[in-house]
Amino acid sequence: MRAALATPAALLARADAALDDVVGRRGDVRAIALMRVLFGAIVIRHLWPDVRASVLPVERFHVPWWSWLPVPSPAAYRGLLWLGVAAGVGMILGLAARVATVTAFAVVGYLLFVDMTGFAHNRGFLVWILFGLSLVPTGGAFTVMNLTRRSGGGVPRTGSVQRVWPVLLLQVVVSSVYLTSGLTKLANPDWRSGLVLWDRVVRQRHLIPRLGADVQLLGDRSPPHMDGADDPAGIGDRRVTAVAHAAPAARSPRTGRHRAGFRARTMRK
Amino acid sequence: MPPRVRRVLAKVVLVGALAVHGVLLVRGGSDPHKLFGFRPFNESDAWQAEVVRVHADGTRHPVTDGTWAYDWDELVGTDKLRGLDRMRHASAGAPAGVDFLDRALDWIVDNIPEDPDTVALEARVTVRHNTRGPETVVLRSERSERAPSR
Repeated sequence: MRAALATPAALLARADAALDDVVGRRGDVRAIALMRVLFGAIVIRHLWPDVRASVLPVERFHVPWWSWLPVPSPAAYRGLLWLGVAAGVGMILGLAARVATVTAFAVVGYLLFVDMTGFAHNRGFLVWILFGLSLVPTGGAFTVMNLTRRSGGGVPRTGSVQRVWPVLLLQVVVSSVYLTSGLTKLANPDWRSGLVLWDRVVRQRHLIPRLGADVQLLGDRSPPHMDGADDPAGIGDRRVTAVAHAAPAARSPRTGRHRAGFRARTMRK
Repeated sequence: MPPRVRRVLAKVVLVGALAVHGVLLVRGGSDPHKLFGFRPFNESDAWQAEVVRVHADGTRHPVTDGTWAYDWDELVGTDKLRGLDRMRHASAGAPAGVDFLDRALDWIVDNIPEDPDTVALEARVTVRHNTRGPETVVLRSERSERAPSR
C-alpha cells in the first residue's frame, strides 16, 4: 500500500525534475531572433488588409469568440491595427524587441478573438508563434543598433545565450499541429479514399494553370453527387481519380522555359 | 525576480500553455469552426443558401431581388458568407458556414434601420458534404425588435 502511494509521488517528483531541467536549459537564440524579424514582417502582412479596409470588421457582421469580450469602437480598432503594425516594425528592427513582440501577440490575438469570421488556421498558428516568441528574450541579436554598430554582420557573440524552454514549447506546438492535421485526415474515410482531395482539386482546377502547371483530364466521369454549379472552369462533370501524375516537362511556347506539368487521370464511371 | 520564482513561473506557463493547446486540439473535433483545432482541408463541402426577407404580412422577398435597400454582401462583409446564391465551396467546412449564417441572420435583422418592413430573415440552405447530399436546412432569424408584436 505504501509502495502504491509512493509511486504517484515519485512520478510527480520525476516530472518536476524533468521540468526543472527543461526550463533551466540555455542556448543560442540568434536563430530565434531571426525568426522574430521574419514574423514581424508577417504581423504587418497579416494586419495590412484591415489597415487599408474602408469597413472594419467591427462595423459589419462579426462574431466575438466570447460574448463578454469587449468589442472596440472603430477608432480604437484602427488604433490597435496601427499599434500592431508598429510592433511588427519593432520586431523587424529589434527596437524594444521583447515589448514589440508581446504587443504584436496581444494585438493579433485580441483582434482575432473579436471576430471569429476572420479566423483561419494559419492565423491561429501565428498567435501561437507570437506567444512563444514573446517568451524568448532575444537580446541584442539581429537588431538595427547592432547592424549599424558592428562591422561583422551585426550578430553579437555575447548576450545571445538565453533560456530556451519557449523554443521547446514552440517545437511541441508546431509538431502537434501537423500531427493533428495528419491524423484527423487519416481517420477520415473520405480523405483515405481520395474523395476530399479529388473534389478540392476539381473545384480549384481553374487556378492550377496560374501555378505554371498543365492539367490534362483523360476521359470523363459523371460524378454521383455533384452538380458542378460552383465550378468556374465548368469541369464539374468530370471526376479526377488521381492527381499527382508527373508528365514530361513541356516547353512553354510563350516563354521557352520548361514548365512543370502533371496529368490528372480520370476514369469513366 | 528571484530565480526560484522565475523557474516556477516558467514551469507554470509551459505546462499551462501545453494543456490549453491540448484541450483546444481535442475540442476542435466537435467545434464547427475548429478554432485552434488545426484541422485544415479536412472536408470538401459545398453549400448555397437562398436568403429571403420576411415582411409583417408574411410575404417573402429574396435579398438578391434588387429591391432591397441593402446589399447582402456588404452587410456580412466576410467572404465566408458572400455570394450565397450559388453553390460554392465551403473552405472551412459547411457546418462553420451554416453557423455563421445563422448568427448573421440575427445580426442583420437588427441592423437594417432603412428597411422597416422586414421583420425577420429566413435562409434555405443546401449542403453537400464531401459531394454527398444534398441536405436542406432552414434557418430563421429572431423576430426583429422593430416588428410589431402580435
